[in-house]
Amino acid sequence: MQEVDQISFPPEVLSRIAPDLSLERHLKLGLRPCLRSFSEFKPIAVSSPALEDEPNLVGSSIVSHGQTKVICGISIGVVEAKNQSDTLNQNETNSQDSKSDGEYDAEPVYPVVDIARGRTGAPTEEEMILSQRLYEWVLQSKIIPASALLTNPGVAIANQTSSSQGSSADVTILYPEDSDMPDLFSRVKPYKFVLYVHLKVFGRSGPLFDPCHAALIGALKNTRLPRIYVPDSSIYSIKIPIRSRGNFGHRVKETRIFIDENQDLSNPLQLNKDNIGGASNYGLYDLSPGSTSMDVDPNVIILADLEGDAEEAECMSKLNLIYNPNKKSINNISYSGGGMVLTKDTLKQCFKLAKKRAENTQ
Amino acid sequence: MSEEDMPGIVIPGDDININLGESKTTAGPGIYKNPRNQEIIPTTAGYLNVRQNKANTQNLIYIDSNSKRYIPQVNDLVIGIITGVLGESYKVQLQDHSTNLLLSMTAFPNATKKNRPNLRVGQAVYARVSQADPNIDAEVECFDATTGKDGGFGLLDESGYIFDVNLNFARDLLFNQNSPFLEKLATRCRFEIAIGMNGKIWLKCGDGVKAREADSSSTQENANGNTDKSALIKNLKTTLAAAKYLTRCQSISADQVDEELRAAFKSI
Amino acid sequence: MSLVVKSSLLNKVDGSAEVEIGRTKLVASVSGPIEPRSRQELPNSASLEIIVRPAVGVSTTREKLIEDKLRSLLQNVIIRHKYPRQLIQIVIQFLVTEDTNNYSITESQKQKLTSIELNAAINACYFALVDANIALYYSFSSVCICANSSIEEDNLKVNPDMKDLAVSRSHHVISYGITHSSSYNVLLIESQGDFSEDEFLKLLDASGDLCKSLHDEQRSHIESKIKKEFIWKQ
Repeated sequence: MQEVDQISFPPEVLSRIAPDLSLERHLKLGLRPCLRSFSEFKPIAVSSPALEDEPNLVGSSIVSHGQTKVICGISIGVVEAKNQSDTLNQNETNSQDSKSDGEYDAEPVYPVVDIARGRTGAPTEEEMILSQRLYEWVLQSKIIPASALLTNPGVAIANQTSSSQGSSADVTILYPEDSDMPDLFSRVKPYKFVLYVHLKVFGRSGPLFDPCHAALIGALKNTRLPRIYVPDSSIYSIKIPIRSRGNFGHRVKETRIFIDENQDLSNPLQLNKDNIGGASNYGLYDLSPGSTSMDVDPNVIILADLEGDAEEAECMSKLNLIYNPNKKSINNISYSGGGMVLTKDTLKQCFKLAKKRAENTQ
Repeated sequence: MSEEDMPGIVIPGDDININLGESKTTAGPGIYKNPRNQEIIPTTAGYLNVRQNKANTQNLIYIDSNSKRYIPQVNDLVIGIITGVLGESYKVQLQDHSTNLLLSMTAFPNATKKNRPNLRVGQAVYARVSQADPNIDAEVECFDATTGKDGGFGLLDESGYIFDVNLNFARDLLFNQNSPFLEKLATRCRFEIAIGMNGKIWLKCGDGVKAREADSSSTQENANGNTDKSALIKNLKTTLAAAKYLTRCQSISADQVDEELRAAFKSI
Repeated sequence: MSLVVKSSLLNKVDGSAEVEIGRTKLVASVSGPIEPRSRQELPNSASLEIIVRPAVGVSTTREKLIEDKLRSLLQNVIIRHKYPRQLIQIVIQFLVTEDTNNYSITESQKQKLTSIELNAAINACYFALVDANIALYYSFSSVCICANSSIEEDNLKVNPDMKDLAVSRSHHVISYGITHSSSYNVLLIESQGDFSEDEFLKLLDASGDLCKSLHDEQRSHIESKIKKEFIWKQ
């Protein structure tokens, strides 16, 4: 009878063919595959480069989180502030009503996450879920107050005396706050900015919510909202014929909106900075699975900042926390547990780590 | 085996509080032994049955519950419909839109490579599940593997009527010797029945449903034709009434059975 | 707690349940184990396909997020090793949600928070899975709670509506797995808002009790369903 030899694999092969075994052996030695200690986070660095040659961006940031890089850019859109409660004088007119209606005094951002994976195609589930989570977080934490995105546009007026020589150079823009002609602005509706966030991720090596969250905050913090203006009807009043059932009689007046490129007039985005917390994630690994005791289980290992396929796939219980060091409160807990009992002590330990992490990265 | 106690309803996560002691225990449907901590847990909601043999050396524990999907288990008796041929095997379907099972052409009594059964698509067979490993295609066979004889398996003739019942009801009809339904039916008519654990019942009262042959015979023998025909119609009616009765039995309590039987056979 | 359940209402799937919690109503269906498409196939356990359909319109990233959270819970509750290379397909169709209710909700509220729907979906999945006879490690139930000024027993609102959520200081969806009808372990936490550690730990206990009482409701629903299915045995 032929003897069966014991097959041994080098660590990197074993970690691919049996990630569970590889991870378990690492952890029993007190090591993680990424060689960090159990409660050690990946270094995270947020930088806010001035992207001056990118005129479409109003805010940007770059985050490096271990090997992962996230580039974040914020661009704007403009919509009419059509709801009564959306206008600037909301507080005087119907604050009572809107509050009792459960009116939500916060604005969202619209994030799009793109994880570079060497090919194009429809967004993956992970990208969609990340985007939605960031969206919910911005809404829920109320970091962008409704008033921060409202703007009263200025009006561009042509200087009539010089209009015969050329129309380009002699347009001045008047803004409501530094003008004493209230009737000029009476017909101008208030507008609202919409923030689009583009996040590009390179070198994914673990859960991405934390770096994306940090990048989003970094970019929001340096976002400057420009002023917008509408041309006075005497300059551009474009009438577009609209064909309706063969009838050419209808015309609508298109209101054009321009962005004032004068950087001095732009204002930093007003954020509820007190509401900004720091995000961190943990994997819980049970070294002695099957024990169903509700007592303290010393065999549960908390792994901070998961990294690598083995850790992500084998830690069945995962915990995401957002801790707010300003208010000393928790903003978000997202936990999904598998097969093991989450004890309060484990939870407390995670809270402690989250607190430290949030304070350190602020 | 003797019944230990009245079955109670359990749902997943319940403590099936039984002291199994040193005796050997067989876990049946709905019972799962967690390989991590050797805990025995109920995985479905239903009636918990614990049976023990007289010597107290063997236990059987299972949960009786209804489900819509039939999952083949070895030694289950089933009624399958031939849906096609695949190499040396027939493809057999146990439920509408379910995965096909294989029925080897040699899995018939006295069948050899040369002497094959001749089954057509759409015909029904009564068979035993011989192979139900979830990792490979499940198989059925149409003979008693210990004796090599037909053992009641094989083609179900086309004069029978096949209808669906709930899986739990089919199991009860097949295994519960105290089940009153068939005994009561026997007081009204003569019938042949095959019950599949996949929820299909084949039923034939008298000569069953044989309309087409009746036509051909009536043209040949005009004298006997009328009596033949009325006998056939009676058989047909009885078969349908019996099927209706069994179908209705699933949704009534035991004390209403007599009434239901009377109602089903009222017009005959 | 108001929980209206109708089990087995669809006859083309293996298990289904219609559940009404507060103002939210939905149907959950389970098909399985069935043959998966080859890219879904897992060699040693069942794969889950979870599809969430909104009450109005087509599904968006919002439904994807609910799907993701449901999956993270269900994959730990279903004994997936019993069904290698098989697929369990779960479809959640919302019938009535907060934004289809005819009371006035402002535009900005409509597009928000998934907590109420997630909570309803988890509870509906339980009944549908039991109806489909899919093997489960334990029972599970879920509660949605919102807390106003601070998390105190009398300050909690169970099964809030969208209005409550919008004005609350924090809101939570907490699911427990329930074994031996007494002990329980946390399966899922989705908490948002502003709360302290102690407040949360208190809330965790409170929600455990709520989940347990919900479990008693589940039991009575399931018992009556089983009795109906075995009515001929009585």
